[in-house]
Amino acid sequence: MINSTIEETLENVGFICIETKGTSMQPMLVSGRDKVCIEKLKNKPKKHDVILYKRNDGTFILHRVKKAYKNSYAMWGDNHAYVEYGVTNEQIFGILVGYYKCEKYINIKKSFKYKLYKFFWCNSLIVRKVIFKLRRIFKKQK
Amino acid sequence: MKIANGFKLKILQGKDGESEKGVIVTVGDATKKLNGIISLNEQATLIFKCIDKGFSKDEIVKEMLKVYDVEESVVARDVEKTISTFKEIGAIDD
Repeated sequence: MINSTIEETLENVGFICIETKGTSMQPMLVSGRDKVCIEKLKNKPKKHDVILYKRNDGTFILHRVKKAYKNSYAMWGDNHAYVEYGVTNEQIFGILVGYYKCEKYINIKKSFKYKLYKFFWCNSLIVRKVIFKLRRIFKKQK
Repeated sequence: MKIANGFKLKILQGKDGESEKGVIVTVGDATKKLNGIISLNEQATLIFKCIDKGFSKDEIVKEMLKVYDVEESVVARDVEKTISTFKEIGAIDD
């Protein structure tokens, strides 16, 4: 067995399956519970694809493409209402192909629930902002 | 002999677009045993699939001989070796 980095594994095996940390991809992914399956990128990512990229500080980030420009991408987490601009092709290492929610595998190309989620959650920034606001109000009342 | 809970086989398409190779991933408590992935060659993938179907060692050897034109003793040795590796990583319960 060999200990490899994320980049090495994606390059050599073409696939990784790792736990995510953080809350930026909630409600789809829950930190410490779900595992994501990522394949080495073969084609240019499209809008709403979830991709793995590396920031200049070395941090790996798994976020969704909000908009694909000619030479860069605008990215955001499903739990974010703000956008990160200027992610380039050189920073991108892989694309999400599925994930284990608890122990159940969700194939994002086939899952109807995932497609429904993507349609409603990703296409409406207004809905997202309203939900975030309601959540803040609800938390304050607690 | 059976595959331990939380050990899953993912099938990936090979670089030539035709061949398939397997990768073992772990979920749930199995992540404590193996936090990473194990990349398998074609033969090990077939062995893992056979164990998952509940085959015995002898049945796995027979299954391998259907696919590979190799001496039975060689296949038996490889199956034994692969199974012991799977046991080492905790992927098989007796």
